[in-house]
Amino acid sequence: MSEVIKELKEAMQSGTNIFIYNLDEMGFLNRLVQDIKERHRNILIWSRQVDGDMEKVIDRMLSAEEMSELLLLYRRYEFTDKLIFISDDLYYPNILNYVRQGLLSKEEVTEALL
Amino acid sequence: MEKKQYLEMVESLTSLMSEIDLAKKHIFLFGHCNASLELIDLLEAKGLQASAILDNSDEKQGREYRGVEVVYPKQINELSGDNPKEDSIVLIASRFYESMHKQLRELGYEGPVRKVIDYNTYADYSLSDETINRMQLREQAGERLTKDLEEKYPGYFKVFFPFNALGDVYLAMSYWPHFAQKRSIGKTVFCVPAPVLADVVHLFGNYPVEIYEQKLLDSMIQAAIYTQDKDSYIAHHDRPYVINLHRALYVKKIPMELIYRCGVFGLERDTEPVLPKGGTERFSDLDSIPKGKSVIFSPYAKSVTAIDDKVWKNAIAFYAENGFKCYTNVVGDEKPLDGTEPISPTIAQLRSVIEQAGTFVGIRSGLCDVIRNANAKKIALYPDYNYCDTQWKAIDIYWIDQFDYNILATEEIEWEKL
Repeated sequence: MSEVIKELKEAMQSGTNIFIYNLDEMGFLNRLVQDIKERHRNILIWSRQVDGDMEKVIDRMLSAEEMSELLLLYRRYEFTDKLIFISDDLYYPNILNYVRQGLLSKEEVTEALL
Repeated sequence: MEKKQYLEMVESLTSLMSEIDLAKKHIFLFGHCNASLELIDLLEAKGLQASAILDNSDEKQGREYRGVEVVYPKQINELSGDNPKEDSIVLIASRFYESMHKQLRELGYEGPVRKVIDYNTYADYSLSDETINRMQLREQAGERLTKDLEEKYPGYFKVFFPFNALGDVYLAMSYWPHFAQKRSIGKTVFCVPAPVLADVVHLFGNYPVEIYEQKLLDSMIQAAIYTQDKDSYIAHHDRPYVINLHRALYVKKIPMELIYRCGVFGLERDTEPVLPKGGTERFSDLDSIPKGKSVIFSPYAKSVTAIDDKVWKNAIAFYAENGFKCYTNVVGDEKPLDGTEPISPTIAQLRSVIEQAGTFVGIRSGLCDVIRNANAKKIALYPDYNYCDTQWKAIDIYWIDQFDYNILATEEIEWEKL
């Protein structure tokens, strides 16, 4: 079992939420992630790409292989309700649609996801 | 509850009873939902009495069904005897089995927890090699089914409707043409888990529809997620697990119509729904229904708590006294309400029947969506319950503007004023 899956298992067992993101809209997401980190203690933020001032809120940098491994697992089945994964995949609906259509603010998305 | 799932529940319970002497245990059900209430009936028919229904909802605390009270899950430890491991069992008939099971263990409950219906084949809260391998095989089976579908419909876009719910499919089809235009999607095949859903799709056009057994469809949807199939779309608001739209309801009330328009399809808020082109088929025995002096009752909904019999009795008494002929819309082995005649139009014939009758009174189910544009007096009755685990009442989420009345059925209804 790879290191990242071991860490995932440990986090799941301790009841910690893990937030993983993989979005093009980095500007929006940076604010979202900072907000999540400030308001919620029991959460780990894992990401692959980080720009400048985001480093302090990221708990775990993922290599391309690790991100790929996590995503394959996430896409294979629902193995926990503790993993929150945000992406802009086009083949299923996404809560970010509400933001684009003005139904939810970005702050409300943060609140909704946790 | 669907007949197939009911039979699965009966089979699970029978098998469980051959393994465990349930008569010697405190039996708890998790989740105050229609399936749990049916399970209580089933247990009773087998001479067994449930001890309590566990539910996290504050609003449901203290409610009773056949003498079985709703309590918080944390109360299980005090209600399950001196030795909960031996003296009690929790039965779950909910798609949230995995999270319920986890919550019970977190509460320190060590007794057996059994799933009586496999509502959610996507979930297994485990990262064991055995589970991962099993789920891999399931996803691969889904890929093979999808390949077969693609060979039958080369070049077609695929739309998956993951759940057997008329209303979901009706709403999705109301906005599908806008979405297809926005994404430049051409020929499309729709995949559904029940024949009646194909009828709903066909209200909107002569689209090809493929019907799959639920678990096979689940595996195809999983394959679409796993392979990131860009030539497919999962058109639902909360299934499967990758879809997070329902989370928005924790912070804001969003009516189902907007959930589909803006959430599921990402369309502008002012997008107008497409109206059905079909559904105008004439019911074979239409002339036997007194025109404008009949009422069609629809008291059954598979996933909604039933409305008190008294409400239906009062309504039937009122309409009968006023010279209306009363019918109950029934499917399969459903029984007509006392004082009414059974009637079973198809989805395509429903509109003709309701327009001929002149009045429709139904529990708020997907059927109400299907007839929302019929020219008749339409009354939707809502049991008093919250939408899923949100703070919003179902009536606020499911309200239909095209209906003359949307009424909470717990209050005394003054039928003469409607």
